[in-house]
Amino acid sequence: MPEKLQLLPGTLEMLVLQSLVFGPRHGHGIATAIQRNSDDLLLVDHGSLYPALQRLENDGLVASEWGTSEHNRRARFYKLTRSGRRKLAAHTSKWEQVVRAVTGVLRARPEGEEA
Amino acid sequence: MSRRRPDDYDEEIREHIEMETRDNVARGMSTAAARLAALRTFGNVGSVRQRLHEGAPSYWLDTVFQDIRQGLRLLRQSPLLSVSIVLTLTLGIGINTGVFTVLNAIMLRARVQKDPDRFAHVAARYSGDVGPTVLDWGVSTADFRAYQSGVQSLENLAGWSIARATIGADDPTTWLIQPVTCNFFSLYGLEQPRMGRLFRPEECKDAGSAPVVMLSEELWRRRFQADPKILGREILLNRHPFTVVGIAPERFSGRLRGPGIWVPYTTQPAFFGGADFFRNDTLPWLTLEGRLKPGQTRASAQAELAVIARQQDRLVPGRDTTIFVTDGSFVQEPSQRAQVFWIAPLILGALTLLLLLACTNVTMLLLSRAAARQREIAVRLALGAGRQRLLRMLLTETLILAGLAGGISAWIAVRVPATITRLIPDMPYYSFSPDFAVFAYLAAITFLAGMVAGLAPAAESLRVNLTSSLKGQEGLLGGRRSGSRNFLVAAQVAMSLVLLVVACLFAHAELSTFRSNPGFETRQVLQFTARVQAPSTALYRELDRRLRQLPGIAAVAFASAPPFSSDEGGGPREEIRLPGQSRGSGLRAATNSVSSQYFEALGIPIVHGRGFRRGELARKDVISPVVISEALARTLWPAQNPIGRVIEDSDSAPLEVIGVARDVKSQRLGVVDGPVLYRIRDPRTYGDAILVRFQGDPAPVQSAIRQTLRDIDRALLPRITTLQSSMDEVLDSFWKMLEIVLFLAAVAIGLALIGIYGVVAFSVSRRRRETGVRVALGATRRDIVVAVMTSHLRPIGFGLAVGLLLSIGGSIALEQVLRATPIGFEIADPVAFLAAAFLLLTTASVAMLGPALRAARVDPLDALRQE
Repeated sequence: MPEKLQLLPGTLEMLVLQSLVFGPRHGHGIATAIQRNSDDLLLVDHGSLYPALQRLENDGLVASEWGTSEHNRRARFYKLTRSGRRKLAAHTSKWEQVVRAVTGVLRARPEGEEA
Repeated sequence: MSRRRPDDYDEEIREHIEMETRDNVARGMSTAAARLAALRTFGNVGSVRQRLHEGAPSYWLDTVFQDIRQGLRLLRQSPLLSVSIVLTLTLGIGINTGVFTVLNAIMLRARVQKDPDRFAHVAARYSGDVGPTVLDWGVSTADFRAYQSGVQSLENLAGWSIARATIGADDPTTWLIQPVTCNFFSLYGLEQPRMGRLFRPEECKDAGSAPVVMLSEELWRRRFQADPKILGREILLNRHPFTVVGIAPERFSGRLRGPGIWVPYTTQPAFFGGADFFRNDTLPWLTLEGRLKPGQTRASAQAELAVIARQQDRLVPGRDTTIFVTDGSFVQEPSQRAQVFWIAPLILGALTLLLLLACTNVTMLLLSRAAARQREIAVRLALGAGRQRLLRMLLTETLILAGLAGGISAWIAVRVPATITRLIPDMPYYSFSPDFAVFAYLAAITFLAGMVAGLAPAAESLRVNLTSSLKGQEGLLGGRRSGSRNFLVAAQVAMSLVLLVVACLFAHAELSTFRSNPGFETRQVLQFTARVQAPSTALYRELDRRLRQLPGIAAVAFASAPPFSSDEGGGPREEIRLPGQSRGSGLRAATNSVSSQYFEALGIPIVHGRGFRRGELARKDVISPVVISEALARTLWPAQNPIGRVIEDSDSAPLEVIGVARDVKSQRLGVVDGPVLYRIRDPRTYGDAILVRFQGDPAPVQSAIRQTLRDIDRALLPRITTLQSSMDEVLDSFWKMLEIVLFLAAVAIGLALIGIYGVVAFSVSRRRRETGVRVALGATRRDIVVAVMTSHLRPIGFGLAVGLLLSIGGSIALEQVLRATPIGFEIADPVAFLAAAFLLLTTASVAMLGPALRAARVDPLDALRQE
């Protein structure tokens, strides 16, 4: 199995917000979604999800309420708020800028040569 | 969005792990393995829950409630300790706040209700050639008018003075009366009287124009039985008729105590014993106050007034005016500056001392309790409680105790000012209603007390060695930590010693000095002043003659400065020079103009030469005879015969010394008078005090004198009392002060007792094993007791030494403060210091004895077995 990658701080919130874009999920659902979409590469302690969710909720970026899970049991569902969506958009574009910049530096050749 | 409770998180986490387990089973793991894997993937459940707990927005509040509940439970568990802590803190905090309330009202605020920030108090003093003065600080009528018309930076400049007056025809009681300029009331914020009207401007225009008066509500109730028809009624003040035009409401303080009388300042000649400050309009008598105009500062007002003052000085050659503008609070009054310099640190020092004493005591008690809880703390730490959290919990407990004490103190703070007002006679009315400053102070020192008392034990509690504490062995507050305890004991002893020394000084003074012979007769001498309506020399001669004829009268004398007539220890002072000495380099002596029978009446022996002869007069062209006191003789001509020598008074008139009178203690209790110059009284003067020496019982003589006075002037109603009762009055106020001091000393001893007992008991319990070993090895009971006592001797001794130094400093400050009162006592009183030290040492030994004896009774087997 390939090595799990460490998650950069601050990106966890972004990933959580992203996983809620298509609809509310419960905590376990968010964890599995992140794991699945990253092909199991991203190392996420399921436990560390909850403090992140709490922070997001304190900041008003997500809202939560009780609901019924697919197994017919009580579960807490999280959904994006409007400000959450805005924050996600801002985060994403910033992330993409960072990725472009870092990639540019990593791929740079000595002066005067083409990639 | 629904509120999250901690249980919600738990359920959510549980459910999450359930779901992961199910997924794992679906991936083919066994149930047990699936669960384990799920838990592993989740991470540390405990720490996640902890973080969720702390991240919840209501976390802080929840934990505070938790801490408070925990603290209350702890209080209930050890009620005796809790009660003693609360009481101790209440003593410290309560007394502190009470005194501060008084201080705040008296010293730190201007005595106005509204807008004290722009209030300006003008203090002016004349120096140089000023002639006889009534007050040291004051402004003359002429100068007041000049300031009022000329000043630009102040508005509503008002003036006032304070005098005494009798009310009615039959009552010899005098009341405080305040002649004021008519804008006084608006300056002090009184717009509407309770009844009637305020003074009108025309009533303050010319001298003697309007005999109107305003009474305070309290006076109206007390003296006039709240007569509804009081307005328009004519009353007699100093036997002059005045019409009542208004009643000031109860809360109006002005400058007087409750029962107050205000008259327009133009009626001044009716008061002040015959002086007329409108005819002699260069004599100082007024205090000025006003408000700063917007944009002006007190400094600019002062500069402007100084300019006007200089102009006025040119009209009175030789006079120089110094002028200050203050904010009206007591602390800023220049006339009080010397006293304030000593009073403030003295009072603040005593207050801080008391608070520290209480805190130290509480700290010691808490330290002992902290040791008993070390197991509980260790368990908490082992279970994962954060140290900061634990510290907060421990501090909360102490703050709860402090809060309780603060609550009780708030109640005390309301009581104390009332008590103090009763103790200080003639104190002007201050509104003691606690204002923001007082509450802020109370909150601050409650918090401070809680923190100071609780921090040390809390910090100590946390420096716990988990393993050994859990095992019950010594780790917390063992031998290495006794340094802080010793320091506390020494501090407690030092502070208690200071309070005890002050108490002993007072007690010693009360017992010996004040009761001693003042050097003259006090019980068989009556004193009174005859304030006749139409004074004249003939009248006084007649009075003299009639008094002498009364049965039982041995001597009749007149004096300008009778005993106990001055607060500062002596009548008006004059400069006495030897012939040839330049101005300003002579000796300042108190002057007393007395009639020929003065020394006989008071029983003051003449040790050299002779007294005044009957009929002897001071004539202008002949050198005046004077009698001087022993102190004056000693200073001018030590070891030489002073009889026949010539000295000069301040007007350079020659005086011949014809006799030397024994020194007496006539002005301040227990303190010998300074140099006194006795002059022969001019029989044309009137208004002096009359002293009558009699035999037998005072009562019939008093009524005979009263009758004689009424025969001469039907309206005369003086107070006739023996000198002893005047002395007793002063002693009374002193006794009240002594009560307070004794109370504080008792508090100090009590606290020292409890504190030292607690520390020693604690250290004895800590060292039980060691004691057991000692006893097993052959130590006798006596050995153990001696060991316990001596082990604490060093901090106690150190505390006594430090305390001694502090006491010396404190008593010097005390003496300075008392200098302006009729109470004087010796601070170089080794008996008092030794008594205090001895008392404290005894207390400490008694406190240590109990635990020491208990230690000696330890059963060695028991002690060694105990883990």
